[in-house]
Amino acid sequence: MNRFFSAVLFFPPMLIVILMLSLLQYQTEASTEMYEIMVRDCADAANDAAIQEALRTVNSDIYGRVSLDVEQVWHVYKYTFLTGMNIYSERNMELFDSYCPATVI
Amino acid sequence: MATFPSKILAVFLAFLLLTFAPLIIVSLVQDIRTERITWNALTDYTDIVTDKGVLTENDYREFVAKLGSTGLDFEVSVLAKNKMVMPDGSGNFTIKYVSSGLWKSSTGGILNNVYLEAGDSIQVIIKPLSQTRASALLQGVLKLHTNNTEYSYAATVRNDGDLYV
Repeated sequence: MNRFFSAVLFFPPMLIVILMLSLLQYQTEASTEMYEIMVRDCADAANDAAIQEALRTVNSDIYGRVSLDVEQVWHVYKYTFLTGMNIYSERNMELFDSYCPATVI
Repeated sequence: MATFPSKILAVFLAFLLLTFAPLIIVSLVQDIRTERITWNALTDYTDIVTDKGVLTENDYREFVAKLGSTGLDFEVSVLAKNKMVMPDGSGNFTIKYVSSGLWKSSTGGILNNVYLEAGDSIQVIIKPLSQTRASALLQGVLKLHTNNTEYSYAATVRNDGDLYV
């Protein structure tokens, strides 16, 4: 009987601690997931902006030669993404370039 | 046999656990739902503006009403930026975005419709002013100070605004 009540006394605090740790983990995971969604949506918006810019600025001459200012399109992509994330600055534009250089296909 | 106060304490702790555990779990789930609703409202509003190419009072009110359904207070800022392409003389072009100022915020701003052109940019920033129930609980129970998430989203205008006049 003694042991039983000692166990009863021991379990609630232990459960409370476990519960709190689980909640913390849950909260952290939820925040991370939300952040991922935000980054993904901002990247989607930037992608959309870049495509629109490309469609607006693409030039085709009478011989069928197509020219496109890739730098301009890339600039719009970077600007939209960084503004979306609210971290736009000239410095971050340069940093973005060094981490994710534009690839011309 | 355990002493009487120990039994009382055990029962009290068990009661606390049974009461607060579901309460905290429900609050956290609600918190996540609120975040998702806020973010969806933000992206929806930005999409509407970029499709129409015009910032209108009506759309803004609908957006604020959607945010209000979360039960939280928000500070909303809408920034419209006009795109300028400037030649640098050597055959290349430099793109600059010029902000005509804050179009709208919860504390006021320009009320008239603002017509945008395709290629312009719009940025919407939302800052929660009040605490969610879950963060209040976490702060109260664990003394954790969780910062309110600031939501920001930007997109490029797809159509000229004067098409909708």
